[in-house]
Amino acid sequence: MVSLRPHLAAPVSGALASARFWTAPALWRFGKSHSVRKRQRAAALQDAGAPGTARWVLTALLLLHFGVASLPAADPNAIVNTWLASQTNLTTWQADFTQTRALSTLTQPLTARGRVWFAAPRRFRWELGEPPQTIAVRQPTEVLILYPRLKRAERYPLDAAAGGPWKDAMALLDAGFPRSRAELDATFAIAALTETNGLHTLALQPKSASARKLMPEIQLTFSLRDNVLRATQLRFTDGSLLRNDFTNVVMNPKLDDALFAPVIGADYQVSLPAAKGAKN
Amino acid sequence: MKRWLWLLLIPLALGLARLRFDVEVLNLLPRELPVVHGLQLYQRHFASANELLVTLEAPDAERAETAARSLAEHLRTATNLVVAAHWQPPWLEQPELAAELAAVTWLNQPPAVFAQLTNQLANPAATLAATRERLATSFSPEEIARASFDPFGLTQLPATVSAPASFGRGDGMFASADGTFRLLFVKPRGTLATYPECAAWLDALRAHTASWQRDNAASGITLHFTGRPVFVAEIASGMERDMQSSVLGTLGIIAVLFWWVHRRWRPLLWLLALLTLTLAGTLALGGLVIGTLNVVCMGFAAILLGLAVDYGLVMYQEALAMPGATATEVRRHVAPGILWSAVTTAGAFLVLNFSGLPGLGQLGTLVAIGIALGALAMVYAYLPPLLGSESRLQAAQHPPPPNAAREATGRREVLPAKAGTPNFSLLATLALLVGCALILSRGLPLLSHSADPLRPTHSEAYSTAELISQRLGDRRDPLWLVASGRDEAEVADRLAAIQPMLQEAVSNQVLTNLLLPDALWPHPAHQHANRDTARWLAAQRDTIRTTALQGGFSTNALLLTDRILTVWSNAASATRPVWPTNSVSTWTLERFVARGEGGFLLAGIAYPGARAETGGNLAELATTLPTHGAWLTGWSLLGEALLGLVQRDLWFVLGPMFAVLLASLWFAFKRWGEVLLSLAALALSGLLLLTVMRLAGWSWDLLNLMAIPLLLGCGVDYGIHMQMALRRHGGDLALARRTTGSALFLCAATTVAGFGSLAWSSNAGLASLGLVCATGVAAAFIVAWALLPGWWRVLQHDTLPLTPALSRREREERSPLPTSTNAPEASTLADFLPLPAGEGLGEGERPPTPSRPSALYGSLGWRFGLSAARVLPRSLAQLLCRIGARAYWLAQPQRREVVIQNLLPLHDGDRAAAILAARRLFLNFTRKLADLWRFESGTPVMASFNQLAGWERFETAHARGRGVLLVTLHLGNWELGGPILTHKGHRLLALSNPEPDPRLTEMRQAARARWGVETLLVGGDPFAFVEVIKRMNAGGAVALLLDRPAEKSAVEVELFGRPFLVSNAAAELARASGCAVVPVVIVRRGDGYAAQILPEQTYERAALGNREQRRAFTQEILRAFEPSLREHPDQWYHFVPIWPRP
Repeated sequence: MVSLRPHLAAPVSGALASARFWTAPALWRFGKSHSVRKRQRAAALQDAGAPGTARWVLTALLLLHFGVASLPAADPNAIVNTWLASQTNLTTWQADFTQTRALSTLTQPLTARGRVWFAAPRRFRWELGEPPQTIAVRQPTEVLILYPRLKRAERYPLDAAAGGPWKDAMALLDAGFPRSRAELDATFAIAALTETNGLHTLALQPKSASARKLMPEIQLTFSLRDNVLRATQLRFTDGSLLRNDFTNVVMNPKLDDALFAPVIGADYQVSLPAAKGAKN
Repeated sequence: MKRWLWLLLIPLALGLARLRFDVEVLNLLPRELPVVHGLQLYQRHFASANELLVTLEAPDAERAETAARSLAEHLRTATNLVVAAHWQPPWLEQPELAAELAAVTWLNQPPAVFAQLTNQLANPAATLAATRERLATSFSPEEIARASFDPFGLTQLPATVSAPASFGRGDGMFASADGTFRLLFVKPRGTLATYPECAAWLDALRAHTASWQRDNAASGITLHFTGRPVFVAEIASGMERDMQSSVLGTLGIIAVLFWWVHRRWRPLLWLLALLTLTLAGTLALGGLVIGTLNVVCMGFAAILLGLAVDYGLVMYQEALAMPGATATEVRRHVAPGILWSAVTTAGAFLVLNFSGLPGLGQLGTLVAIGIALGALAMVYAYLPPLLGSESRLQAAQHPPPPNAAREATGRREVLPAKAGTPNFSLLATLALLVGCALILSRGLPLLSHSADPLRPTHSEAYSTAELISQRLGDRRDPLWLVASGRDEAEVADRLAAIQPMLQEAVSNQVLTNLLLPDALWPHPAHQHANRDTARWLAAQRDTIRTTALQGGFSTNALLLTDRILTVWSNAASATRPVWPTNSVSTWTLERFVARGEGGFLLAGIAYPGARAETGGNLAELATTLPTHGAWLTGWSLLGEALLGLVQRDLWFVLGPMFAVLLASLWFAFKRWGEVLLSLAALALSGLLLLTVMRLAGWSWDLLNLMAIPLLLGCGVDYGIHMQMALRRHGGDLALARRTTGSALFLCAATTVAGFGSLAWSSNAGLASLGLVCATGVAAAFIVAWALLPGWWRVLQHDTLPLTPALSRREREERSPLPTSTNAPEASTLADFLPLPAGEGLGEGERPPTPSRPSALYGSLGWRFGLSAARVLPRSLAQLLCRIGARAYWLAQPQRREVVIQNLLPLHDGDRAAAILAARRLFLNFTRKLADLWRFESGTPVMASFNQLAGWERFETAHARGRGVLLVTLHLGNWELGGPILTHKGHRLLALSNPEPDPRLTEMRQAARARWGVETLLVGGDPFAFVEVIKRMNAGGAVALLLDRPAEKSAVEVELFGRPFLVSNAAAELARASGCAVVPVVIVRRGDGYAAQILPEQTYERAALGNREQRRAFTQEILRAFEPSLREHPDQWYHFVPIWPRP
């Protein structure tokens, strides 16, 4: 026998926590391993940790900004450049939406309606359900998710000390909300640009291999006539889809700051799920 | 070699056969400490007890992930080495296997909790509708994933059981937050029980990964290894390295020093061979006595070499100094000192067994065994082969070092003391004190409370483990909770018992982040009670399935539910506690569940809270929990607990050791001044050590604190030896340094080398212990060699003669008076008193002739005797004398044997009669001593005489007017003759040598003067001979003792038919002055004394010009004493051998 020092506490701690709270990603992988095992066996093995859900939710939230610029015809580069230029005029934005989730474990997609508000540079509020059952608010240092019916709140810090999928997702999406063409090209490659019934769909592919393993493609659908974003669609490696169809879009409305600073009721149970050693 | 010596090989062989090595550092610690016991349990049964941990670092997360997967797959191909290799949580690779753990976890919950599931499944349609709503509206990744594949929520334990999930994927233990650092768990094939197995397995695995590493080196991938196999292999190889480097290094230094001093190959090689044999023998005996040796204790080897070589050096030095002596003679001369030294040094190391640290005790025991073995080897085996067939060292071929020769023969060259030396010493001392004070005023060396001294140094395994802690862990030292029980039920009960205490500790912020896997522990009672519920739930399988499919869920969504229901179905009919058994469950459970110690063990984890005090509330909790069969442990607690133990036991070690030290110093010096000087030297050494530690940035820790008793034991020797040398050389600093100082330098250098070589030990604590001990020994030597002599001179300034004091033999040689042996008391009294430590001999051995007076024969002891004689009634004094004589008879076998040997010729070889006479002699001597003290204290003694025979012979001789030389032997109480002469109106001049202590000389002169007896010191006065002649020519009376001659004045005569050396001083004085030579005896008779003046010994003065005639006259004088000696053999007081060797 030999003396092993406390460094092994982390593995043990991880094992305890994982064994006790063996959780979502395992189930995510579980489902994937059965539904797409033959087709994506190799990819499944590569999908380490799969911080996916967090990423695609946030991706969906932040890709809203791709829809607020007008697109010239045909030339994807020209479209993107124009779009980026138009973003400089964007300060606020709001819309209604219908979200469709096509999960591999469900035979039929799930739909939910909601509203979204955005304020430059990085604040947003997302309400899902009518009345809202889930509210997501992006603040400078954290993402706050409220469950009014359950009186529950979750904080996901975005500061440098916070790690894990949320930080990864935000890094990806912050990079994906470029202020210049160079920044865009650093994160995404334009895969295709198609037109159907006057609506253009721009397919983007993450340049990062790890990001591609999570989310191989992002689609943006917009109208050239009013330069309004009509839909976003995220496709995940297991075949699941998340689509948002926007209506009643308003550009640069006057927004109340209170939208982005929700008051958490005293009767709410607040947690920090993304932090190691989660605390209430 | 004697045949019986071969028998010694039997225990050595048994010891070697029994010898085992233990590489567990924790086994060095006291198991009775709860923290230690807990850690031992944890290390032995948990912490992935057998797993190899491989860390992988890459420039970016993507490359790290790809490389980790690739490496794991590569390792899995080595099926002869590896059972499993995980680069990510196993449940991510085989998520379907996680269902079993979830199902069993539910079974372990209280029945009321488990029964809640029946509500969820009683109306499956409603449950599924709620799930769909969550799936549509939730932003939580965990919730969406869980609900997708667990639509009935079977994996979600109630909030009362499980805390909110902290990180769900479980990959926090496999990858750092930035993903660039990853961890792989590799399970070896086989048990790897021994360190050779670990080393061989690790070598094979490294070889297997080498090709993979080459392929990935360009990608910037770096690998490191840790875990038990690496620690074991490292410690084992560290042991070999320690043994090789420290042993070879120490032997090298010994060889260099020996060659520098002696420049002889044969003794050098034989010395090294004996040292090597001593090491091997010590290992064998260590195996016999201890059995399993901890490898950390292998540091004993270097210490032992540094100490054991001293004995060989001493033997060789003595052999050089006695060119004509055989090996046996040298051994007889030196062995007592070496053996006593070995006993005291071994004792000092054995004291480490009281340190409270079993490992340190083991180290001490090994060194003690080695010292004993080394002393015996050097004493009995070193010289004989060197002396060879010639049986003697040839002085011409092998000239002894000048100092050694002078030392041994006693013919020392006394050099004048340098007047400035003491001042230099004092100035240097003052400068040192100021320097130390300045440095230490900034603070003393710190006391480290950590357990780091137990860690290995320069260890890849350790540094990698630290890296894992930094990159993946909490960075704080965790605490482990280990609960034990004979079966599952007992563990569960104990968990329930300690839960309130732990929760209270959490609420008091003593603990934080407590993770106790109680929810996963198989609780037999709960499982038994949950059987019916499990059976009912399993029976809902078809209903659940149908409802789910109708509710829009695919079959994929039900796979997990189906597996869980299967486990519950099986559990419903189980008769024994249900454990999850698949690979994912097993891998997970191995982190915190173990079977061992005749039962089960469970481990949890916690961290010290904001109000945690390692020496206070945490320690209290750690002490309380064991009463419930649980242990709170951790390295942070270990350091504090051990340090407390060491600090407590240090006083148990230091107290007796200091008492022994004081007693040793007192017996060595018998003068408080010199005792205090030794203590002052030790104190200054300690101060120097502290200063060096402060400058070097060392701190005290739980291992090097034990250097204090070791340094007390080793460091005091230098002060003793130097002061003894100063005494011998009359305060000649240069001579003392050249002789004893040189020898001490060799000894100190080898000891420093021995301890210092531990600095490269692979164990941090042993290295710090070695460094501190080496520095302390060096400091002790420097102080004793450079400063102490100066202090000694200052202290002794008032008592030393102006010229350096000479040894007795030197005084004899230098005196122009040929009768310089006639010290009336000193020789016999000093001889009678105990030998200084280290000079004793065993029964039956030829005792050595003491070369110096007993240390007890000093002014202080004499003054005490005089005081006692004044106040004690004579009867009581006589009684005390009887007791003292008896005790001395028993305690001094060597003196006893000397006296017996002296008396044998007087009893015609009848040993029994000689023994009886010797016993009476001891008693008579103490009585004589008591009467002498009474006499010298002023008590009238004339009433003690019950006979005065032959006074007319004195009167007749005196009447001739040419002086009377009263000659006598060390027979009876000769000092009492002075008062008789005074009483009769004559003045007596007693010839005497200076006493060993100048103050004693003065005291005795004064005592004689009180009775009208003059004393002439003949030792240092070149004109004493003239004074004696003058006194004779004036018709005076002079007293002289004959039977302890100096070498130069000794002539051989016959006594009882045997050769006997006697002083020719009487004959010489007769020739020079023509005085009357009158033998006198004053012996005890009954309760008083009888004085008898024997017939005058006549001579022809002219004939005495012939040397042979003077010898014949001396023979006649001595023959006159034979009747008295026959009559009173028990009053002939000689405590050193008096018969020349045949």
